[in-house]
Amino acid sequence: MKHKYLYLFLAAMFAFSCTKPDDILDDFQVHISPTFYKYVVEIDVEDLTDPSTPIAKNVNVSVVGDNAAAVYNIDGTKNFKVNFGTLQLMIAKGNEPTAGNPLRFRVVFEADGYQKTELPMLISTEDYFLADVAQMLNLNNLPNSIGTKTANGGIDPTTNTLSQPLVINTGSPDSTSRIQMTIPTDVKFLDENGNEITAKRNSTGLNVNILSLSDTSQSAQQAMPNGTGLVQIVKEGNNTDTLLLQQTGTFNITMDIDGVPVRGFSGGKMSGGVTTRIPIPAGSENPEFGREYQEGDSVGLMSLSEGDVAWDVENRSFVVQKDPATGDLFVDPTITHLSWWRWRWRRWWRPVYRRYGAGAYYADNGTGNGSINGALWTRFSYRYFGWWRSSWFRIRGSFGPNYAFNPKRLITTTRTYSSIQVFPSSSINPANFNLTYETANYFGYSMRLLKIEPKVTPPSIGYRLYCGSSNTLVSPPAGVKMYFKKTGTTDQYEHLYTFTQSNVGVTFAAFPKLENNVNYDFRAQLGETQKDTSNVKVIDGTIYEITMPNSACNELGL
Amino acid sequence: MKKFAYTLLLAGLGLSTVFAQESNDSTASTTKADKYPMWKNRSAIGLSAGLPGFGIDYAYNINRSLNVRAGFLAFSFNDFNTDMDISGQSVNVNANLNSTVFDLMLEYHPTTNKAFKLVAGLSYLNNVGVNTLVLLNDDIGYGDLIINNEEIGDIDITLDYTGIAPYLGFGFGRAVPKKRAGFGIELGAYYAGGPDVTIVASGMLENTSEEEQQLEDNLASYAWIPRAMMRLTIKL
Repeated sequence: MKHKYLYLFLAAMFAFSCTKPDDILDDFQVHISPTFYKYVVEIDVEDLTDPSTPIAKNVNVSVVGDNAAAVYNIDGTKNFKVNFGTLQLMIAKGNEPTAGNPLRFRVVFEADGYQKTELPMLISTEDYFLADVAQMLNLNNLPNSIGTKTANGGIDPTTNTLSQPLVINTGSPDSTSRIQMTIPTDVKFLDENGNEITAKRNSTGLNVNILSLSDTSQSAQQAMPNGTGLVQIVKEGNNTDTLLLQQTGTFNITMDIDGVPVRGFSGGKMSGGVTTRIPIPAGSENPEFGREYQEGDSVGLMSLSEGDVAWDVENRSFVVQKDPATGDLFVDPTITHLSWWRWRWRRWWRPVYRRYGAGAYYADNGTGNGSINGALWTRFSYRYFGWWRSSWFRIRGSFGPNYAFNPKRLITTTRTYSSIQVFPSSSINPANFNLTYETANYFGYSMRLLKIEPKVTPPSIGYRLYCGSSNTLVSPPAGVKMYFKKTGTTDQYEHLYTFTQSNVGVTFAAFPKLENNVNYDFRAQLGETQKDTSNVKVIDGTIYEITMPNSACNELGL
Repeated sequence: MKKFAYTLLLAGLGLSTVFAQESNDSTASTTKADKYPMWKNRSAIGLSAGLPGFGIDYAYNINRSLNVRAGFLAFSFNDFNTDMDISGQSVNVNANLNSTVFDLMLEYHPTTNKAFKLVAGLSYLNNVGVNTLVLLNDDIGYGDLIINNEEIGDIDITLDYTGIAPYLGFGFGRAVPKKRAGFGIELGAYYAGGPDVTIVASGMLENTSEEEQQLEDNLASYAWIPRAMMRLTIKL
């Protein structure tokens, strides 16, 4: 057996080639990225007058418009729901926008006691995440600059016209926005298809509501349609542009007969139709001549009908008149359909437009991948006869190091603004950041940029998220929102980060809202699913391993 | 979905499965000159079957204790399809096995009157390995949406040994038989140094391809490829 050692070696070598297969799986992870949807729209829903208090009423949400079929709630259903104050929508794969074919739809919010709010959405290719705010106007808690009035007139069932003329006087309590409307008895009422509305037996009559906005106040501007303040899309002839509107009264006039919405009128040849008398507030500037309006000037009219995104400039002008009794200026245009209405300079004046923009960026000081989520206010101001007049609008989303890729507003205006300010709302604490202004030119738009720079280098942390076991590494679905608060405090959870298709591959980043060596409670939220992780000490450079139970993964669609 | 990869990996391990073979070698015992005539009829061809494939070789008798053998082994088994049920999810597994080996072996008979032999050599392994593709059979529902299995994606893992590999083994039976024909068995292993791993994942599993290096590291200890062959030899 002189060869026995050699035989033993050969046997051992053969056995070694049959190593236990389980060892292969050590540290091997299956990566799951729920990429069956990429486009997410997130809309915070809040009370316009009292944003910090959640809307107690049930908010009904509907999605309408050309591409509404492509839009789903974040849970993949058509059951659109506001959860934790936020509506999250997704675009079904296969219906995504392509180059030259953006998706257009409108999101409609309705709640008892609140003004119906509509937000138009435009999703172009690679606009993976859109954030907006639906500020709903509580009709039972109106600010001084907004007024509402409801009136009713009996309908003659034989003619489907008013039995008696109906005259409504209303305006905002601050008297800046006033209107008088007269509906004569020879006017018939048309539905959305242009058909005459027939009153039912025992009809409730004609119900009329006028919402009056005094655009000189911030809250009234926020109640403007489309949720964009005085920044509105205006169509004049063949031109459509995003304009910063002049400050003046705006009126939303709605009517219905037995619940059927009135969209237009017919008849009225004898009476002259539905007439309004709209005062030209004292001090209103006629931009054509650079002075206040005076008797004999002309003004135009613009309207925004239900379902439209762009205001339509009427092809009519109206002569400014003076009330002999009071000396107040007014115009008395007739209205042909129902919608939002406001007056503006005369139709034929061609102003010189100027292009402005507002945005922000986060200066990450080389930490890399840093960004900050939150909302910014923008205020465009000018002085007119010693008074500051301001237009407000909000920019919301995630702000990274390059302003060009961040949310921003681009506007066109006739006015030169002497002050353009961009400043954070409550979601970004100014105490923790150096806030400075910069300017830039962005495709011809003169940009005002807010540079958001942390005073202290923020901690950079990372994560690895597992489902069920350490063998399944998952990416959070687009739309998962992370919130935080310091452990042991009664603070409200504050928004930290939203995972989107654009950043879902970023697993290590600087978080300027967090402090190093401080313990936090974290909350992950998607749709109606919410998961808390308490008492996590944030240590710069740490990668946190998070294993979620399978049940939680299933709820998150993983 | 994570179960896809486990299935796939375990399927990939099939390469390392060992097939033990029983020997019924019947080497005869005669005089030295009779049993091992020199300088004539010193060549043979052999037909082989076993792991890692079927092959043909040419053997030459150098002296009473040494034979040299050069041969070629190949095996291919494609489109092995099977459906499996993993935690309620029906998955389809498609596996392909391929093996092409070029051998140059030296056989040493420690005792010339016995058929026992030790074998050493060098081989060139050409794409010896397994490829496994796993994907869901059924679509998955998410709310009102249907996510088809192509969107979910698949994981395609290839374990591949290619290159020069030394070989050691032992067996019974002569490369060049004493009589017209002979039969032998052989067990051994190639030292191939661990497989190259390629992971191609798609759809929602796409990022799993990042695990290529990890899996390659894990498989680095799988350096030995077993060989278990039966061989029929015909003297030329």
